[in-house]
Amino acid sequence: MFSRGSAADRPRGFVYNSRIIIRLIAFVLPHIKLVSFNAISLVAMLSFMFIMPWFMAQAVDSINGNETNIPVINAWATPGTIYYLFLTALCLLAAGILRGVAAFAQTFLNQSISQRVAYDVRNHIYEAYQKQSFAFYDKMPTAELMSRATADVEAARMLTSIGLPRPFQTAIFFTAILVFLWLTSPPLALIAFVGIPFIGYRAIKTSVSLRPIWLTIQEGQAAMTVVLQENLAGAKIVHSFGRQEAENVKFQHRSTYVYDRSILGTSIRSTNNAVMTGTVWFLMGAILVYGGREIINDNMTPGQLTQAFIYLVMLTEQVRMLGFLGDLVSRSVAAGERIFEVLDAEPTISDQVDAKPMGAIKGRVRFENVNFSYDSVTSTLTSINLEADPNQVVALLGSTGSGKTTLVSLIPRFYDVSSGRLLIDEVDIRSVEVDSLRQNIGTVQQDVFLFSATIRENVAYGKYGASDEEIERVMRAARLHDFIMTLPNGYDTEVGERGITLSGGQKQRLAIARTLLLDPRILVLDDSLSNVDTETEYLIQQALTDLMKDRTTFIIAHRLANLKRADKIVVLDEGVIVQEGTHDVLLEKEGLYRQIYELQLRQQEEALESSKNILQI
Amino acid sequence: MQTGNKRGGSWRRQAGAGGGHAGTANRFLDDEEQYGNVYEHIVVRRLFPYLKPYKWEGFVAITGLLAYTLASVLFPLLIQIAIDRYIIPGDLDGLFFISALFFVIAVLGAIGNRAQIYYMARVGQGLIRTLRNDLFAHLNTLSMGFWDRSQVGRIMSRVTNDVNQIQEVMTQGLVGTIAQLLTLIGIVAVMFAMDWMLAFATLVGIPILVLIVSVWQRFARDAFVSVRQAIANVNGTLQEDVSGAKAIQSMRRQERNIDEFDEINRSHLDANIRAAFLSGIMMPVVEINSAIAIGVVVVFGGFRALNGDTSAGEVVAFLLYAQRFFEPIRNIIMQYSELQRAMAGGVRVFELMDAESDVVDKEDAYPLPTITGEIKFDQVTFEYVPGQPILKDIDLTIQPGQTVALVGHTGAGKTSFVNLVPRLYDVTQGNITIDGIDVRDVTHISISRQMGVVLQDPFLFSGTVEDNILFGRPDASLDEVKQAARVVGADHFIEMLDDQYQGEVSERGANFSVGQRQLLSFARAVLADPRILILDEATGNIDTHTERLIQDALNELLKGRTSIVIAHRLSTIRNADQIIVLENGEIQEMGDHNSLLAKGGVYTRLYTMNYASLDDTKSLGEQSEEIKA
Repeated sequence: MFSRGSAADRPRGFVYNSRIIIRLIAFVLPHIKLVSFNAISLVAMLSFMFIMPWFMAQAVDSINGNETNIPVINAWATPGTIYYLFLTALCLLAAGILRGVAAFAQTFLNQSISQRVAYDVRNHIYEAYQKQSFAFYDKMPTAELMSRATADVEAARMLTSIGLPRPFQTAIFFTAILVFLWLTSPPLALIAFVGIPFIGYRAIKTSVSLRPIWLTIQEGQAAMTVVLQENLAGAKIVHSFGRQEAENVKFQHRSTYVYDRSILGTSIRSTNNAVMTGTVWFLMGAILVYGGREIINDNMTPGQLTQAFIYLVMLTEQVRMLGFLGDLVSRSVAAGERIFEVLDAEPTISDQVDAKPMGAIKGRVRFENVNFSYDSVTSTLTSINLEADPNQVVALLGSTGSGKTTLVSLIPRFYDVSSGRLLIDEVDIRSVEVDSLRQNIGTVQQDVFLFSATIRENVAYGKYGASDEEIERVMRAARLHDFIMTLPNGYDTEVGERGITLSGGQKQRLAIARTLLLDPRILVLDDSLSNVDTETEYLIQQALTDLMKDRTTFIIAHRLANLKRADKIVVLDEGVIVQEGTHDVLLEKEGLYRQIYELQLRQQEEALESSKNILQI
Repeated sequence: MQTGNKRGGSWRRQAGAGGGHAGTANRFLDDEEQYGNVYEHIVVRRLFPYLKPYKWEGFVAITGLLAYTLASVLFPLLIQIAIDRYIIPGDLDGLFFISALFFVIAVLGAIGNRAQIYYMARVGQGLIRTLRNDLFAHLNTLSMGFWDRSQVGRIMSRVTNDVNQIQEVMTQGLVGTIAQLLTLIGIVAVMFAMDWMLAFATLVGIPILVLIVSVWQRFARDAFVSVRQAIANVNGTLQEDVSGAKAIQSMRRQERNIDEFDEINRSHLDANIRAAFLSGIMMPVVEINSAIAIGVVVVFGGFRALNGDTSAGEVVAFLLYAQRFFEPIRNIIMQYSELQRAMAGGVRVFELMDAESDVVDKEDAYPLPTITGEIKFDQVTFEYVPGQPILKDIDLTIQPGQTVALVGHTGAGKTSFVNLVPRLYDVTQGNITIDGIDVRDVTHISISRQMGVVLQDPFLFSGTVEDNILFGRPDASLDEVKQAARVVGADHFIEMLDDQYQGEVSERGANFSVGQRQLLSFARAVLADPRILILDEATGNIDTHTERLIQDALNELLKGRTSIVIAHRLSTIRNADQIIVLENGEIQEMGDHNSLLAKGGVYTRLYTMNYASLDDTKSLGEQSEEIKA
C-alpha cells in the first residue's frame, strides 16, 4: 500500500500529475484573499518593470532629438531640454518606488501564502499520524514518516511559492516583450518569436533529463549516509576487527559515485545554461543589427532599441529561473503524492457509527474464538479462547513470535481481531468508542518510551494537569520518588536527549508510575527485563505488586516470580494456546511449560535452592 | 539524515505545563543552529590545500569565468560604439562589423560560461569528495573515548549537513557570488573609463545602500536564527511523536498533542512570516536605489549629452549598466545567509577533523607477532574521568586457551575491563601485556587482527550475509564462510533465505531476529579465527530453540582460544576455567564455580540474587540475616 522512498521514479500520466497538483492547489484556496492581492501586486510589479525602460527610451530619444511621446511630460516641457529630462527622471523614480513596493508586497504575500500552506499541510499530516493505528506504524519506518512531514511539505510549499506563480510571471513577461517588439517592428518580434520559445523548450527539456540524475545522486547520498551511520554506530566492531581501511575504501566508492553523478548532472546543466545565455545574447545581437538598420532607415529610434535591450537583460534573469521550474514541479508532484498517501490512509481502527462510551467497568475480559493475522496471509493467533475474571492475573508465556504481544495488543484495540470477538464485561469492544475503551486499559510496554520533557511531564503524560501530590504518590508506589529527590532539579529534571539518561530499570518504573496515575481497570504489561541489578529488580517487583493490585492484569512474563503469582498461566506456541493453568499444575504435566522451565526458569529456581543449601550450611 | 531533529525550545513548557516562556528562545541555541560570520579565516585557510590538486580545472574555470564576465560587461560597450559610430552616422557596414563582433563575443562568452560552471563543479565536488573521505577516515581513527563523549547524531550531522552546506556554497553560491562581484567590478571600471563624472554620479547612492544593508543584516540574522530554531522545534516534536506514537496512543494523548503541535507549528509560521517580511523589505530599498541611479543617468547624463560632453550611446550604455548593476547586489544579499551557514559549518567540520584520538600508535610501534594468547594485567588502573577510577589495581594472568568469565553488577567495570585488552582505551596506570608484549608497543591494527569481539547487541552491517561473516577476514572463500556458519549452527536459517549467503542484511540487521543476529556475529568471529576472543553475552529473551543453538555455538566459539566473557548464562559461568568477580572496579574473588560457591562470598550472593525469584530472595535475605544473628 505504501511506497517507500521517492515516488517520482515511477512514471505517471499527465492526468494523474494534474490531479496531484490540483489537490495541492486546494490548500491555497482558503487563502484566496491573499492570493488575489498577490496576483495584483505581481501584475503591478511587472507593469512598473515594463514601464521603466519606456521612460528611459523617451529620455534617450529626447537627448538624441528624436520624437518623444510621453503625453503628460510633453505637455509640460519641451523634449531635448534639461527640464524634460528632469521630469522623466521623476517619473522613473516614481515607477521605481512603486515597483519596489509592489515587489515587496509580492514576495511577502507569496511567502505568507506558501508558509500558511506548509503550516496547514503539516498540521494535517500530524493529525493523520496521530489518528493512525498501530498497523500503520508497523509498516512505515520513522524516517519515512518524518521525510513526508518535512522534506515533502517543503517541496509542496515550493510549488505554491514558485511553481505556481512563476510560469504566469514568465508567460506575461514573454508575451509583453513580444507585443512591444511587434508594435515597434514586426520583424524584430519574429526574431524574438523564434528565440524565446526555444529558450523555454531547452529549459524544460533539460530539467526533464536531469531529473533521473538528481534521483541517483540522492540515492548515492543515502547510501553514503548508511555507511557513515554504520561506522559511527558500529565503531567498536570496526575497531575491534581492524576494518578501518576496508571501510574507508567502501566509503570512498560511494562518495566517488556521488561525485561522478554530480559531474554528469553539472555537465548537462552547464551546457544548457550556456545555450540559454548564448541564445539571449544572440537575440540581442540580432536586435542590434536589425534594429540598427531600422534606425538608419528611420523606422525606429535609438530609444526603442535601448528599450528592447533592457527588456532582454531582464529576460536573462527570468530565463535563469526557468531552469529550476521543471525540476521543481516534478519534485512537488512526487512530494504531493507521498503526502496524500498518508493523508488518505484510513485508520484501520475507528469508532463504529453507533459506538457508545464505555463507562465504568468491572474488568472481565473474554476472548471468544479469536483469530488474528497481520497480513491476512499468515495467522498470528488461532482460535484463542481465554477468560480473565475481574482482578485476576493472567501470565503469558511462550517463545519469541508465539503471539504473546499480539494477544495483549488486541485488548486496547491497538489491532482489531480478524475473526471472533473480544468482550469486556460481556460487551464487544468494537461496539464502544475507542477512546473510552482505552481509558480503562493501561499498558506498560517492553520498550519504555520517554519523551524529552521533565520527569513530572513524563509521569503526567497521560493525565494532563495531574497535581504534584498525585505524581508523588504514584512515584512513591513505583519506588522512584526517593531517587528523583536525589536529583538537583527533582521532578523538573529533563530526561532524554537534552537531559539525564535513566537506566532501564528506572524507565520501567517511570512507566509503571505513569500507568498507575491513569488508574486503569485493566492492565497490560510486558515484564521482559534484561540485566538489571538485584536491587533494581527487587524494586521493580515491589512496584509491580502495587500496580497489579485490584486490577485485571495480563502480563507477558519472563520471571519466575511473575509466573508464580499468576492466577492463570497461558502458554502460547505459534499463535495457539497449548497449555493453561497455574504454575504448580503446569509443572506437573509433560509439555511446553515444563520444557521452558527446564531450559530457562530452572536456573532461577536452582540458584535459589543452592543458595538455600549454602546459607543453611 | 536531517539536522534539526533535535527538539529546540522546551515545548511542553510552551504548552503551558508551567514554567516561564522568557529566555527559552535562546536556551537551546546549539552549535547546530548558530550563524557564523560571512568570512572565517580558519575555514578558508584549511580548505585551501584541498584546492591544490585542481590547479588545471581551476585555471580553466577562472578563464571561463573571465570570458563570461568580460562578455557581459562588453556588450553595453559594443552597443554604445554601434550607436555612436555607426547607427547615428548611418554606417551600415560598420554596424554589420560590430554586430559580427557581438556574435563572436557571445559565442566565446557562452563557451566561457559552460567552462566556468562545469570546471568549477569539478573543483567544488572534488574538494567535497576529498573532504568527506578525509573526514570519514579521520573518524575511523578516533578511539572509543571519543565516541563515549560524543553523540552519534551530532557527528552525523557534521559529516552530512555541514559538508553539504560547504558544497552548496562551493559549487553554486560562491562561484555565482564571485562572478557577480567580478561583473560588478567590471561594470564600475568600464563606467569610470567611459565618463568618470557620470559614473561617480550614478554610484552616489551605493554607500547609503551599504549602510542600510549592514543595519538590516543584523535584524535579518536574528530572524533567520529564529526560523531555524522554529524548524528544529517542529522537526524535533514530529520525530519524537512519530517514534513514540504507540506510547501516545496507549495513553490517549492524541488530541492534546495535536493542539500542542499546532502551537509549535504556528510559531514556526510566525517566525517565517517575520523573516519573509525582513527579506522582502530589502526589495524596495534596492529598487529605489536602482531607480535613483537611473534617474541620475537620465538627468545628469542627458544634460551632459545635450551639452555635447557625452554621447547618446554612452547614456544608453550607462542605462544598461545601471540595470545590471543592482542584479549582483540583490543576489549577493540573497547569498549572505548561505555563506554564513557554510562558514559556520566549515568551522565545525574542521573542529571535528582536529579531534584527536586518545589511543595512538607509537612512532616505533611494530606489528604484533603471532601470539599464543597469554594476557597479563599488571597493576592496571583505569579511569575515564581523572580521579574516578573505574578499575583499580587489577593484577591477573590469563593462560593461553583459558576461558575467563567476568561477573559483577552493572557498573562494576566489566565492560571497561574487556575494552582494555584490544586497546580500545589506554590504561591510566600499570600495563597490559599479550605474550609478554605491552599492547602500547605494537600497532593497534595488528592487535585487532588477532582478536575477535562479539558484542551483547550484535552489530550487523547492511550488505549480504556473506559480507557480514567476511567482516573480520575479507579474503576468506565462500566455503570457509559456509564452514564458519555451520560451526555455530547459523547455516540452517541462512540456507532458508531466498538468496542464502547472498541474502540482504538491512540496516543494523533489522530483518533478522536477535538470536539470528547473535549467531551471525558468532560466525563472523569464528571465521576471523582470533587467538583471543572477547564476548559480551546477550541477555535478551531468545526463544527456546535459538537459546539451545546459541549455547552449543558458544562452546564451539570458545574452544581453543583465550576468551574473556562478560557472562550472563549460568552454563557459561559454570564452564569457565576461571570466574572473576568484579565489584567497584576491583577483583573481589577469583576461582571456579564450585570453589567460589563454597566460599559463600560475593559470588554466592550475586549468583543467588540474579538467578532466584525475587520475592524469594527477599525472604532469603531475611533468612541470611537470621542466620547471621
